[in-house]
Amino acid sequence: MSDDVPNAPPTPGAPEEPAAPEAEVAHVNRWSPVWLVPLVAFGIATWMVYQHYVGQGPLVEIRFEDGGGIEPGKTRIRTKNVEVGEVLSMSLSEDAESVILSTRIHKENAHLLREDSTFWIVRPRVNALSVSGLGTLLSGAYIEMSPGVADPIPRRHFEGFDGLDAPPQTPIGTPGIHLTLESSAGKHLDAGTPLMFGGMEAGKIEDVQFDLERRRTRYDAFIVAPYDHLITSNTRFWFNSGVAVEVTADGARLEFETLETIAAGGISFGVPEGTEPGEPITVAHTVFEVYPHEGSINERIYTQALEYILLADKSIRGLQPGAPVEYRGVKVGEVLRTDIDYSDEGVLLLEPTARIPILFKVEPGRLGYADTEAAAAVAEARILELIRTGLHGEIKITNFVTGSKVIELQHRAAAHRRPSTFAGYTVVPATEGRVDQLLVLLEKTARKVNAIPLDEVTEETLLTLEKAQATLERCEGLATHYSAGSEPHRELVRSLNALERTLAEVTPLVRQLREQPNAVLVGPRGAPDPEPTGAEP
Amino acid sequence: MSEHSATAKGVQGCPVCTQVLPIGTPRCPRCGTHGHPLGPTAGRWNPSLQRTWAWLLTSVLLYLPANFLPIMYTSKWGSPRGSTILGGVVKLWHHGSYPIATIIFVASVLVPVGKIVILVWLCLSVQLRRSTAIQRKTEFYRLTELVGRWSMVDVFVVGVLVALIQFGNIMAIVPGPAALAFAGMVVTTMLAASSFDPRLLWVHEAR
Repeated sequence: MSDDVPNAPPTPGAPEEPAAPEAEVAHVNRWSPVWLVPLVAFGIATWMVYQHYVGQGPLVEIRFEDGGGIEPGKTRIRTKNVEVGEVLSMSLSEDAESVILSTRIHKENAHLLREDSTFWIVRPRVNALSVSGLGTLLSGAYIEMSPGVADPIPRRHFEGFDGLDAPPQTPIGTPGIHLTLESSAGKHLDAGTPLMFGGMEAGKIEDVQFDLERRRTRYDAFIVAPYDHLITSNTRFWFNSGVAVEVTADGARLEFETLETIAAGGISFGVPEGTEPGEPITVAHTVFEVYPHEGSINERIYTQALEYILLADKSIRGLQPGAPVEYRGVKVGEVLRTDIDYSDEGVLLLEPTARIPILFKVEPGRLGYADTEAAAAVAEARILELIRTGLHGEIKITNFVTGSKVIELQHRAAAHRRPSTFAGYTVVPATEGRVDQLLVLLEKTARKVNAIPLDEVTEETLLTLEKAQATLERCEGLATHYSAGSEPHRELVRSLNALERTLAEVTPLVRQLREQPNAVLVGPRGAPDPEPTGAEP
Repeated sequence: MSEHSATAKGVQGCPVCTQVLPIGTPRCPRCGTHGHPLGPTAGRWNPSLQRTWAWLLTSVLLYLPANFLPIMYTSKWGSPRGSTILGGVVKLWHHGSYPIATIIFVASVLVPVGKIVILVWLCLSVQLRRSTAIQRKTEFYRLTELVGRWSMVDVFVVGVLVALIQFGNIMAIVPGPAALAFAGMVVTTMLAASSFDPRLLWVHEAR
């Protein structure tokens, strides 16, 4: 229409006569001013569309496992409880495996969106460790965005963000160090379980996996700054038990750790007693072994061990794997197994000649050798020499209550003998026939001790003491009749005082006897095995 | 009939003071009224037609935001949710309120669109000098003028709702930008209808 030819003005030499008397030449306004109205409307519309487009933040697609509690148009995206965006729509992925949320981040917060930004849905969560997100019970779920640390990318459309199922244990960019802890104990710990140092929470377990090939549990841990400086080459990790029970001759002791630890367990770390901290660890995902309990970290770890067999001709009941092998009371190794396969050696049980093989190790480091392969070879040759000249092993009872046993190595004058082997291990000859005799003797003694009516004795003693007390009181009454200051009176007062002192001294003994009748026979529990400290591992 | 028409005689009447004037007089010498010059040269870009086109274009421009932007925001428990005209019609239809849905659809979609279509048709037929079914076209024009004043139903409904439902945080209705656009659209279609000179339809009847 715009290309329409405008009307030609009336030609002057028109054939018709003008009807009106005056020849008025009027300027015909070709374009009506009303056209300004749609022009202005169009201008405003264009400006609005432009403003809308420019004012919009980036569109972000986030994939979640589950869209529970999300309402398009209503659910907000927040960072530290400040609204940074909103959910526009929600749809299922093509394979219906996940939910895709289409969200818009507000323009003023667009710079927070980075490649490593993380999203998770905040819902009420209750577990053994914490309760969180209760506020969303009323307000409805929202999506939390953790901005991340990468450089912001000025894009208008982001795809491929994977929403997390649960809040990340550690926000990205938190100073600290990631470690990998390994254990064969097969303890299940939840993500979020604290890592403790000296009773302080120093980090968290972020993830727990099971290594199927190596059959070990692997924990991804994060130590937050400044505790990451405590991680050094000599740092040891151990499982917190939460409850510790210690039974000694003095009685039982029960220790509880924090409720959190009891509920969810935990891992502590520290440096073994008397050890230097060592070099600081700064490499992420350094692997550390988790020890079963705190006591086990103090045991020095030797890399070299020599394995021997002891053939027992008597009962080995009470000899557990891990039982110490001692030389004159000093631990030099430990029992490894009592159930090794001896079918190849032609040993049949119930035969009179059957001997039970016990596999034990001797650690050269404990003998004073260096903990190296060369030193171990030297030690092996020397032990072989000692076996030739009469080194014996003897199974001894250490605890008559539990019947636990140790292997004691000792020298005994014997004929020069050839060391034999059993299932590929060198055999340390066993001292024969003494275990049972000793056991029988001790059992007899124990029975006799049991037969002593200690309780009655104690009670009688107490009765006697009470009577003595009564007598004393009477004497005191009598003494008041004496004229004060006279010689017999003073004598009597002195005697009474002496008697009272004696009674005071006897009382603790009697009390202990009443609480623990065998205290006279069995002393307090001994100190841990002494070890030579000269050898460095 | 044509030989009796004023156009055939080369005269026209002033639309205001009915002064008989030669065709093509842009301004009535008696009352000074501008516009509505008829005649053989009138028609294509007649000021009346131009104005009608302009208002029509404006109303079409306004009709887009009136339908795509939310006409009102219903905020329940503090979270506002916008609803468009067509969205509201669909929702009402789904809820089974067929009469109300029909009324809203007729008042806010059918009538404005019909008005615009009729006016475009009339303008085009003048522009292209079509002189068929002039009688019917004139009837349609009258219908357009008649219906114009009833087109504000939608805006009226929004106004009443906004005035009635104001319970603070619990529930509140706030007018959306589309309400303004819709009102503007109604006004401009009415202006377009009134600026259209139905006599233009008859100009070329003679041929």
